[in-house]
Amino acid sequence: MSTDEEKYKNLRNQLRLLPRMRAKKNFDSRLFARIKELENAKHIRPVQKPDKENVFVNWLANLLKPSLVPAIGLTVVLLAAVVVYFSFYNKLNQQDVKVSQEISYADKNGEFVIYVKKDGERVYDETNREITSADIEGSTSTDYRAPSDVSAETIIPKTNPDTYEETHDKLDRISPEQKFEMEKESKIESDEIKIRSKGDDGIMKKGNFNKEEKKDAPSNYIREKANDSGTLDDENNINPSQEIKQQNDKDEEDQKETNRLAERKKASKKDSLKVKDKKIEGQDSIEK
Amino acid sequence: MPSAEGKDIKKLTDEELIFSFQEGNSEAYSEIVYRYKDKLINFVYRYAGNYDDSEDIVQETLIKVYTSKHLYKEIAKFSTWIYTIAINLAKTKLLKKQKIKTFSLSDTYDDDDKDFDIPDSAFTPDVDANAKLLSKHIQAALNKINENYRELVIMRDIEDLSYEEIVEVTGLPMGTVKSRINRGREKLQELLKDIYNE
Repeated sequence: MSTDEEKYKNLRNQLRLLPRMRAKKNFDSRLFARIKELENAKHIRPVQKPDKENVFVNWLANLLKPSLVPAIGLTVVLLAAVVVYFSFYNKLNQQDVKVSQEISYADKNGEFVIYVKKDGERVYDETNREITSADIEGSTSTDYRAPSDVSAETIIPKTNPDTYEETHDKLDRISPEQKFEMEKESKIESDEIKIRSKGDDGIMKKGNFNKEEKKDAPSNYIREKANDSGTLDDENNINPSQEIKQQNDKDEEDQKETNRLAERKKASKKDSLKVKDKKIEGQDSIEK
Repeated sequence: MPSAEGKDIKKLTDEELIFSFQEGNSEAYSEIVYRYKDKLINFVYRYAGNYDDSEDIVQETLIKVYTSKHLYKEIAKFSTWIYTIAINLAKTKLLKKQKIKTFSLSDTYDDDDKDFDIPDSAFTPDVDANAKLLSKHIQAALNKINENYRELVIMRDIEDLSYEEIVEVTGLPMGTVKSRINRGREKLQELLKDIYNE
């Protein structure tokens, strides 16, 4: 006996000496009557050992507790969202990929045509020729970045007039020697023009150049001038017969020059033939 | 009264009786009722403080044993199991009663028409009167202390259960059981000062 129990020894004895309560005499009969009553009312069902089915039913009952309903609801919504995404939206994405059936070509008018081919369908152009992805150079049926066969428009770069000369010089591919020769030619031409405009005495005269120009100018030029101003001056009035004569003279001179050139060519050909004959003779002699 | 196995049913232990009842022997159940009805009524009466309530609680306890016989496993003693059922039912009943009406002290002193098992066999009117008065006084003191202390003090000092059995019945740790019993005793001693002074 522990010290605590010794400490309360008197109290414990008092408690033990308390009169024991007994059940009434009809306690048993009342108890069995209640049990019978319950059995008759079928309230008492012998507690069965939990079998597998009961375990599953109990698990299901625990799962469908009111406290778990929000969590179950949320889970169902999430599952539905996942199912909808994979069944619907994923198909849409796959449809996008199927646009690989697209065929692009340009018709005769140069219009760009994009045609989405259905499965197993054949596409024909205006000349009833079947079009396949192989017809398009540098492109396949799935190649979206392939260049189209539409003739590319020429794009003229917009140039700034201030900077044009500089850029033009930079881009110029003419060598300095060619440039020098061109400048030389242009100088000669300008000198000739000056000489013509000065006249025989070397002094610049008013209207000399115009007269020369007008003399050389064809009849069309005169007509155009007349049309521009509306009238022809008396001074500048030239007889059309003289004009025709001058033109005929020029034509004759040109013909003469062409004949001369042709004769020269013939002569050069004859010379070359002679040289060839000599060579052949030389070879024959060497062989001999 | 021979059992199904030919053994005298009165010589069977509590555990053997419940297993026999689980196998369908109704006589085993009668034996259990016979062994435990007075013990349980005394225990519940000291806890609840009302004889009629305690009798109802004990009847419900025994009905529960009848209906839930398969739930008993030989993990604990049968006495522990049946005391656990009884104390739980008593607590539930007491709570319900507290909700319905306030506790009346007159109920606790209503021991006049009950049967008492007085330890002293020699009947004398003075002793009987004194014993009744003392019993009433102690019961009143028991009803005044906290339920948690009262329950444990009754189990230990009136029903003479071991600490281990109390631990099994209540499900409390051993330290808690011991400390609560000591506090209950201390409070009870304070309430019964005048008796000891006399």
